[in-house]
Amino acid sequence: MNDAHLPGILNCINEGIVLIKRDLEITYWNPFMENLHGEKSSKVLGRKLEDVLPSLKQPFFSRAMEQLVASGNPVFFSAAMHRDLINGQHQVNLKMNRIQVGDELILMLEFIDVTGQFKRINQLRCYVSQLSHLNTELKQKEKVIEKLAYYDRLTGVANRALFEKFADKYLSLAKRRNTMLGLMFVDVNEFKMINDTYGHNTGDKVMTRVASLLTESTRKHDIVCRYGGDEFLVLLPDIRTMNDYYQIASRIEANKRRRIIQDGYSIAVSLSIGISFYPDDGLTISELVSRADEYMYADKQNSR
Amino acid sequence: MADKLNSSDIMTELFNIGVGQAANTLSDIIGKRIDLSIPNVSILNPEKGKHVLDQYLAQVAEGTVMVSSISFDQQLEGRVSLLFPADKMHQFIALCLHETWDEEAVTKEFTDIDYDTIREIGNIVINSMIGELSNAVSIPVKYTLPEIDVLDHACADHFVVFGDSQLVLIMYLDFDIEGTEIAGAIVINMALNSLEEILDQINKLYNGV
Repeated sequence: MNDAHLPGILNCINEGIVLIKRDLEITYWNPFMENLHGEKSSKVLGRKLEDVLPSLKQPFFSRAMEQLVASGNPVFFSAAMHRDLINGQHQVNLKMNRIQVGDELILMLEFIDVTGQFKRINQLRCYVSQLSHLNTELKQKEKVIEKLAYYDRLTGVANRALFEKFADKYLSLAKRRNTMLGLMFVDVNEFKMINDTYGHNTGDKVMTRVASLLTESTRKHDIVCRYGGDEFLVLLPDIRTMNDYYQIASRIEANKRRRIIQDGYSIAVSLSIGISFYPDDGLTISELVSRADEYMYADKQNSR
Repeated sequence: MADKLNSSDIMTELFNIGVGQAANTLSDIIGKRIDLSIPNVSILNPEKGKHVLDQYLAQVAEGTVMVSSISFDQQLEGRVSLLFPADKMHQFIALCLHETWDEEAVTKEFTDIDYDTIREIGNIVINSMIGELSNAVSIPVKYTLPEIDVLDHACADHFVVFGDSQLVLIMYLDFDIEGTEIAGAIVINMALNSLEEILDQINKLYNGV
């Protein structure tokens, strides 16, 4: 094989190949380059590179070519950073190499078509973005479903399902850590009368206010649960001394009898409260609930 | 051989001229203000170099790095690796390409477009640094285009060849694209005689020895 074969070989390459002299005159332009650029070889040979490919007029291309002529080290320009190297239709990477042919220096420019890659990657990004949005929507729906499944729709506090979930967990923890678990039974006195006097709408709002008062009076990890129509249960985990309990109880006691203003009415709200403790009052949740219910009933009787 | 402290100061200076040129070129291409700087160059034996590099790799992105590396030969022989913490690279590439970056919506994988972008940036940075050094000491260097790789749990063995006749140059590269800073590292693993040749040349040029 000799140099005479070179153009024949370059004609078969699936990359745009352009050879230029040091003064940037185009001496070779292969058929693939004709497809990429649109101009036939016969129209560009002998012309200056920058006249045929105006995007290469930018100073950093000129500097790169000067350095290439001087050092012979190859240069690379990516399609991503240079979107319109040839035209808007094709995305191409550009590699520049220096070739010594006898006494003459030739620069070889390889234009590698990566348009297909760009399309596939954009498609992929589009899918990833769609999946990401779908995932966000699913997470939001999961939250809504959890809210519906575990929280009371009227008051926003835990429902029985969440109470049971946490009650078992906290009881196991108390057994393992040898601490007390408090369970408070709270009943809103004369709630039927509030409903009958002020209407169900106002009654619902009073119930929500009571739930808020209980939540505000308890600690972060305590669980306030709406157990029935006018009944609440409060789980008080990790009670190490009775002093821990008195601190919470005093905050709830402060709200045991009070007047609240709702819908323009001044409404007297009073609570009956019973509290049981694991392990003194029972070893299971149902025993603790029964005992707290008994204490609450006694409290109700005393308050009458 | 030239005094090492003095020579490493001169090399820091030369490399900073190189990365300064790279910053100008990148600013022109990307159309954003870019600053590049190298605080200092450490010239270490392979054992110490491995220790320092392993410490760096353990700190960045749990050792996952994106690497752009070239081998050079002729009068000087060695390998230059430009390392960036992989977890910062999606944002870095998005900044370079004027694309919006959404942490939630990108995959952790790199595409061919990402690789080509880093190949060009690596080419510009390494070209400028090694080119400046080569010009300053009048020693020609030949190299190829950078190879790009993403290495999980990268360790110094990936970048440093151990042997009595090897030395390691480690420098940290601060990349600042309009206020967003990304810290990378450059590791040059070089034959001892190559470095001696450079240092001797520096000594002749700067110290008149």
